[in-house]
Amino acid sequence: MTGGVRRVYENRVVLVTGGTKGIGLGTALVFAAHGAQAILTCRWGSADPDEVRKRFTDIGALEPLIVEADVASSEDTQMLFRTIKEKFGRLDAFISNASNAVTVQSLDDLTERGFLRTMRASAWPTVEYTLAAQKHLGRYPRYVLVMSSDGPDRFTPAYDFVASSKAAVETLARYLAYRLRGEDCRVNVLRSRAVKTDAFADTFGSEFYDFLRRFVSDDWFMKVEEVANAAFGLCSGMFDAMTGQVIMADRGTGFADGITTLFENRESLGLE
Amino acid sequence: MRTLADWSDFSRRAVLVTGGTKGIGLATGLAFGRRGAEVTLTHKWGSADMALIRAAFAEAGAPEPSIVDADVSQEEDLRALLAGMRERHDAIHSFISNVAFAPVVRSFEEYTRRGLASSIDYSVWPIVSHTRAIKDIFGTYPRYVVAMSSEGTDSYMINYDFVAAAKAALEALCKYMNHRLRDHGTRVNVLRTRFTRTDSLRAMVGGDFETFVDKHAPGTFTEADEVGEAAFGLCCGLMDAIGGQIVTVDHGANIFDNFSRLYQERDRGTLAPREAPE
Repeated sequence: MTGGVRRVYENRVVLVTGGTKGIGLGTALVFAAHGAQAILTCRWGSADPDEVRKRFTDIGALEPLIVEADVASSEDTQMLFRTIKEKFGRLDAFISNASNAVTVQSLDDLTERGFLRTMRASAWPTVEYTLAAQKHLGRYPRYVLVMSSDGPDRFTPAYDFVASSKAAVETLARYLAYRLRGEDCRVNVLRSRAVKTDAFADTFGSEFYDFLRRFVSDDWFMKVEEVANAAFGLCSGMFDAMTGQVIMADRGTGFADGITTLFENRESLGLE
Repeated sequence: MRTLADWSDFSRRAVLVTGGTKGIGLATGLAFGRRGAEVTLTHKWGSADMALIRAAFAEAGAPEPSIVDADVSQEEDLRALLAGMRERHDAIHSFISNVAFAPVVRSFEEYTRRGLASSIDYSVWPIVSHTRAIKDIFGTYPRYVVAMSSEGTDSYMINYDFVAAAKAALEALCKYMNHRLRDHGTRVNVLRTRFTRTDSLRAMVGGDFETFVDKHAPGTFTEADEVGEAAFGLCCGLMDAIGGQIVTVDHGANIFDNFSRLYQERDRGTLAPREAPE
């Protein structure tokens, strides 16, 4: 039973790929607040490790282990899991968050190379890491959670390859759920959209944000904490009977995303 | 930073579960009660065993639940129920709309307009009438509304035609309700499961079903407690990013309860046909 237990992730380990920024970092912080040892991977090294560590120590959490590992490099994966084995010997939750995708601005950007690179870096790591956990640590994590978006179902600028890779990883998550059903391992997908992170600005440019702000209030955008809490909630014990599922963390805003809403609010928005 | 201990402290919070004296409803009531919530359970069709229910709450360390006889389709019952709750509580924190009732349909000939209408009255409209009446009587909407649903809308279930039709309508309304109540801070979500070992399932498909499924497709059932935990999870504050969603909690049965899976696992050997008689 989860209720009443102060720190449910005491002596437990969570791995978050792309964990030094945005949703990844936010999610790792929630786990750490519950006692978890967090392992954060990053690729670009753009994150200042001291600053990231400080976010953890500020809330009285364990210092995270920050590892430079490219999710698209199998060598890095093996190295990472050897380190996990050596330092902690276990992995309880794996948050597959990193997504290194090639963006598409026009038809010219639709290249086979870009497609395959995106698939490798944004769909395959969930599988590779999950298998590596079993190989190096002797068992699968209790929770595998893939961070995704509504891109597979709804148009998103520049997102052609990202969306394809998300569709692929969501499908793989369903099949992993079947294959790991007897292993006390659940595999789920948490979609989010319109989260204000650096990645949002990197992918879409700040112009898109400014455009959206003409029609929606700042509250409309998802906060990192909201998505992070939901991610933790799915790994908290309360949703242990859930596997192979895709759920959306957008408070329902995506449901009313379209010209209908603009029409309905045309007066207050000053549209004719 | 808030932790699970804070999210899980439901002391002095009022929770209403319709059809709360059996099966998933009872398990949900217990999930909230265990965290200190003051739970009101309604029943109508089930002859609730009060002593047993109270004992289960006591054993869980939960405050004693209020058990109220109330027909979800009757406005007077609803008013009386909420007036009673209003004497004890200032607000209803979470409302779990669990009751579903529809005629068992065995053939196309058994479809009746009246049967469908009564399915709507008992299985769809209560989430609207209750949420609205809560606002009338308490002045605020519940913070969380959860509708219990099932997978019969997307895949075949025995005798389930009208329940499934009602659930489809219920799920659609939940998405719209979440949209309309979002500015009030209310989250409306749907929790779906496939098979749980409950009286309602037995009433719908017959008593031999469980044994048959466990023999040939083990792992397809979800325990009522597991659904209750997820219902609590949706209402504890951690999942506030989830609104207007259909959350399926069924051990993945919606994906792998199919012939392909049975074929894949045919080595279990339970599916060999009976020898033909000589």
